[in-house]
Amino acid sequence: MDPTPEHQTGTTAVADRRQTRDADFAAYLAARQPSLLRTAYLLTGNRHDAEDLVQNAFAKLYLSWDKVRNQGSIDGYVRRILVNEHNSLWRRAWKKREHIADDETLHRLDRPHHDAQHDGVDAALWDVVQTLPRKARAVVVLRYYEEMSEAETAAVLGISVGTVKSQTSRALATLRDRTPQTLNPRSREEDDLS
Amino acid sequence: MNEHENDELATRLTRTLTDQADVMAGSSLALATVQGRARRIRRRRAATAVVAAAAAVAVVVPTVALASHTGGRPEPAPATQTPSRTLTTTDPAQPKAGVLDVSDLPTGAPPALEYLRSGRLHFIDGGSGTVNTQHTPVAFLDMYDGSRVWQTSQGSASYIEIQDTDGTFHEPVRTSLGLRTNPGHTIAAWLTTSGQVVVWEAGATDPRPLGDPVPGSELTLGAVSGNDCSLACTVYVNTADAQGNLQPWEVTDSGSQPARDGSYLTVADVASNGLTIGLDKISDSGSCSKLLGGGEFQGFSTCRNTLVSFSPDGRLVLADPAYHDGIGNGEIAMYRTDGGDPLFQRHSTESAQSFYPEARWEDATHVLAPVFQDGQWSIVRIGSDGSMEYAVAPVPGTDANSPFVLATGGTAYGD
Repeated sequence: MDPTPEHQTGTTAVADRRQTRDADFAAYLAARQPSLLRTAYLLTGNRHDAEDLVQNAFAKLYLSWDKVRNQGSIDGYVRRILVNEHNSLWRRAWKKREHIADDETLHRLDRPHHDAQHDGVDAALWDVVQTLPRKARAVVVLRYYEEMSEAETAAVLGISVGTVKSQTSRALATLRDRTPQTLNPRSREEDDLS
Repeated sequence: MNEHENDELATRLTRTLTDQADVMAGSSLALATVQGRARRIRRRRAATAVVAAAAAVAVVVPTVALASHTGGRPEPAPATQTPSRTLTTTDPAQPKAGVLDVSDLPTGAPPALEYLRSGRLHFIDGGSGTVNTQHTPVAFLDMYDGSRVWQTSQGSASYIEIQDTDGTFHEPVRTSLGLRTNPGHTIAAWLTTSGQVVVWEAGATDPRPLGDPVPGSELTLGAVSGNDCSLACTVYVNTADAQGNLQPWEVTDSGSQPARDGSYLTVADVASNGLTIGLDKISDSGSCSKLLGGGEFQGFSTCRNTLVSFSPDGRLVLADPAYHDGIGNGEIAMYRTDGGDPLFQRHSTESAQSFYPEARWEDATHVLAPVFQDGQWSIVRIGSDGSMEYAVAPVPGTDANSPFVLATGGTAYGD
């Protein structure tokens, strides 16, 4: 049966709504993806996984776009997906299988150029950050890169503020113990005495 | 460590992370790429929904239905009981079969399991009381003799606080997160921050270490088996190393060693008869769980769901999504232990966007789960026939924070 004018009008309206929705989403994608890609890189430690993680987070946001947009909590929602996806046991295991062969290459390619003044210590600090357990790394990234408060970090990770505090404290202690002496006051004191 | 030193490290850390993140400059995702990924996710969800709906229509439930639930603790149904209800769920008060829609449910009896609501303890008889732990309670479990073990936090530290049957508390002891009990609720186990398993048995004077510290950076407690650690008990600890390798360890009085039986990647639960469930495969689209057969039971495996816990009598298995995407569990299912027949599956949909952080066994045929949907949290009772009702009516809340904490380990076997 040929569509009636009413049908055509309805179809056009649906198409218009979809177009508007996609335009809104595309605008959000363009505005927010640079920031999320950076956060994702700090969480994953390589470009390929970071892009994959962000793509997944935005895909899930796309599926829930109308509802999340209406609630006005888009940034929090997508960031929570990003971090929790990264922490997921499942994702972790299959990503390991998929990329185990090229991780080393990517790691080398990913290393940015460092300011000579800070090279060494900063590179070592980054190396240690990457050895932190995933959840601890997520806490460090949210607290010291995103500069979120303890409460905001707890909300994104779905954990208590107390846990954020303890994870932060442990992570800082690990970083201090395993990075060069310039960051370890105890080592500096020992050097001064020798 | 003083504030200045912390500030110095924090400043350096922020600069390092900002510098490193510049690697991603120039990367970009196109709308079409994101839409393509979204279509794949939608297809995966749809495939799961078809499986759930098929299971819901096909399966006959051999257990007590919600309609007869009184909030008490019915005797476990014998495995040969005549089927009482099919899963076509034609009750108009029930949401569509296969859908986890808790927006409008009938209200049933209060939970037959203690729970915390905004820090206040709610008892089985409907009353409530203040919690007198030294620190803020975050989890708890009821032991078989009426004593309780609390997990609490204060600032950056986590503690275990044991409350005797007369209400008095032991001095708090430090712990990392995680608290488990055995099916009979005679043993409570937790981990120290150095990977040492500590157990406390109801009636004991003090908690004591079990085995040797478990190595690894990401440790979680899996399960506790046995009834008396002075005779024989095992605590399973799931470990993951920095490379993502998963290996459960078994910790006994004799020591700690990798658990090789069954080749599990993680151990989720051990029933009172010794049957074990856990993950045995992980794939792109999800995972597979298995139950090793033993004695009269035939084992099974499934890639539709993750097997989570045994019912108190060990006859049923609670399951959640095979793919955990971190938003929360949008699917719940139950299986028969013997042979693995699926009893029901319910999942969230685009119009019913629900999820739950955890579910606990209330009795042999019902679980309770705090569920979030449409800006509200409720405690929902879900029967082994897939029927649902409110055990606690919805209250407003945010998706990040459930006001409800159900007793760890659910109901003790033998109750």
